[in-house]
Amino acid sequence: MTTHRQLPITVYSPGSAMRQPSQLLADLFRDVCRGRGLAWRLAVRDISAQYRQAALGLLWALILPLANTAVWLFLNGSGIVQISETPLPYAVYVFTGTMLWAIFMDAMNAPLQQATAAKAMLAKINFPREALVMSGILQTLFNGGIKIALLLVVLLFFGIYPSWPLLLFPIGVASLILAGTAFGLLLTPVGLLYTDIGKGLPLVLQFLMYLTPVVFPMPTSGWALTLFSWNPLTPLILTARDWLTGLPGDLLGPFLLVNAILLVLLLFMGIVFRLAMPMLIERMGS
Amino acid sequence: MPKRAHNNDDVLVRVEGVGKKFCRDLKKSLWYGVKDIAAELLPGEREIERHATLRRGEFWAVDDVSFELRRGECLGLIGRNGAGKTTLLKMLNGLIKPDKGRIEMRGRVGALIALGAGFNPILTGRENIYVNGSVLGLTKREIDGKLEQIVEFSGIPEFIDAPVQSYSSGMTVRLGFAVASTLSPDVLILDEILSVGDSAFQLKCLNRLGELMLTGTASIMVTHQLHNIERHSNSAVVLVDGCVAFSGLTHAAIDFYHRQTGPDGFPGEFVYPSNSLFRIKHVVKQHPPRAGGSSSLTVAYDAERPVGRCHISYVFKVSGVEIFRSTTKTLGDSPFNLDRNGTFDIVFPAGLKALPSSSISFSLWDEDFSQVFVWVKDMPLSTQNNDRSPRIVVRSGYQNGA
Repeated sequence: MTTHRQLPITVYSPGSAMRQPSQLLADLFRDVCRGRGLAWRLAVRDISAQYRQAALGLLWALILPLANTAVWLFLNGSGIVQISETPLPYAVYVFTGTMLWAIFMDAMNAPLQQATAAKAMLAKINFPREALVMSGILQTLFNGGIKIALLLVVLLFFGIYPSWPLLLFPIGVASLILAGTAFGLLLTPVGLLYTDIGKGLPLVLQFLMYLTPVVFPMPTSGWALTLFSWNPLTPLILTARDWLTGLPGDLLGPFLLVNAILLVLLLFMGIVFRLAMPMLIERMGS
Repeated sequence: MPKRAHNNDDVLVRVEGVGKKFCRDLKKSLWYGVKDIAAELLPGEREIERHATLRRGEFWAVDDVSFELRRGECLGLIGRNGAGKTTLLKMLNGLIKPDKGRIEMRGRVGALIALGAGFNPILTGRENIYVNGSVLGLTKREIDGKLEQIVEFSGIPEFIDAPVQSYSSGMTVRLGFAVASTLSPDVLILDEILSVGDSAFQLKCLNRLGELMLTGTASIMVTHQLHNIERHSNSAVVLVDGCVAFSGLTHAAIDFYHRQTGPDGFPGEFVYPSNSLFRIKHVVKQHPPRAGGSSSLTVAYDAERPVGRCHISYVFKVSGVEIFRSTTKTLGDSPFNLDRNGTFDIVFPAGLKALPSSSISFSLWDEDFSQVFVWVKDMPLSTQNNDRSPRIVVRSGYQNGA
């Protein structure tokens, strides 16, 4: 006669998991912990596969923001677009801006991209799906690391030397990734059902970039100022850029407020992502 | 419900009145998806009722299925394509939620469904072992410890450092199985696993399955190769249009399934090409009248127009093992002509005697084997099956698809 070890019991029933919120949160955190190893493994898989079949390798992490910078330097230099005075030399302003924006954009695209790429796996295997989101964050961090390394070199070239606010810069990057992930997760459930989201996202992001002090400085007056000031990304980009270039940052209050809201949003979207998964998988086919 | 004398702790899978609805229309299904997600986040008062009600365009893909599975048992799930087998497995595996009923799974659940899930074709076999292992819930240390065993089990050690895109599909499946087979789940879900790979691979699968069953793993098996179910399962469930049409001992379930497709409840699976105008009316078996004579079958058929010149291909099995396979062409017969209706005989070479466990599969072809009119699978030849036992009554709503 065998002795029975106490086996965990899993119950599946039609009722919503929202009815037991504490259980739901416990399950969420358990799966986040359980999924760490898998997230790492998936990130390593994607990064090595991505660069193994590209002759330019790691350079691809830089090419897009570099091209973007070049375009804006040309537009400004030739006088096609008149850009008002920036607090830093314009080249530094636009280069740091596009690099930081690229990190945010990577983070925002990641959840939907990861989930779409893993459709076949999602439809057949039960694994902690939070790992997909975490793997996206790891990949954004890796690609972001390359960008930041280049940024630091270029800043030296422009005579901007590291100073103490640089120590805070990782927090700035983290908050950009936090914002990207939270917004990205917001779009993922519907984006997995309707491809319209994935198609429209680049357009929206492009527009959003012009409403954030990435290539333009903060406007000084008018409705543009109102839009820029209400844009939650403004304090994130400005503070990250300030810390990178050795300034203490003058939007610290809004920066902290936005981050606090984003943390709550991330938790909420994590729950939505988790609850929506069975309905999404149902419609993924086998 | 009467309780059996078993220890209740032994039940690893308990499925009670489970149902799942699907929508055939894609646009509607997507919109329902959005609504379902909203309802999951903000469950209303009458949530359970709403789940159990069909909306426009929906149907029950699985309806009111119940069963229990104990330690060491193997349950076969039998049914045609679209009968709801895979949907049921997905619910058991926690991939999708039931709309009705309740599922209770005890212990670690392992699924041999998507072999090689997460494989990236550009990476090497070795790298992909780590990816696939992680997806299946193994830690890096566990994979490190089992790496050699996995490589050896896959049978392709010489290719392990080549990118997986250079593998044949069979090799990929072998590697995937090698990883998956290191798991020792309490409940194992197998979906058509045995239909991939070559014979040597299938033997490995079967042996591994046997090992797991001895250690007390409960398994649920879906396959169209019914002899595998017959060999491993203690009991089986026949699903017809999402409902349990039969549940009981394996051989009875297989018999029931065969009766669904044959003419007038005749055992054996009768398969016709879509929009075929050819139908078999009945089959009469003739056993050798005296020693040395040949067994034969007389098949009566009906067709819309003259069938033309035909050949027959057949396989003779005893206890599921193939004894003889041939075609009338190989045996040197010239094609025979079939009119709009009538009968034809299949005469087996002398020496092929019908034992109680013999069965035959045959297919009727045009003279150059380019068109098949009917394929009859695994029709028992034994005498005791000749007397037609009464058909088991199927719940209403099911129409014989043949």
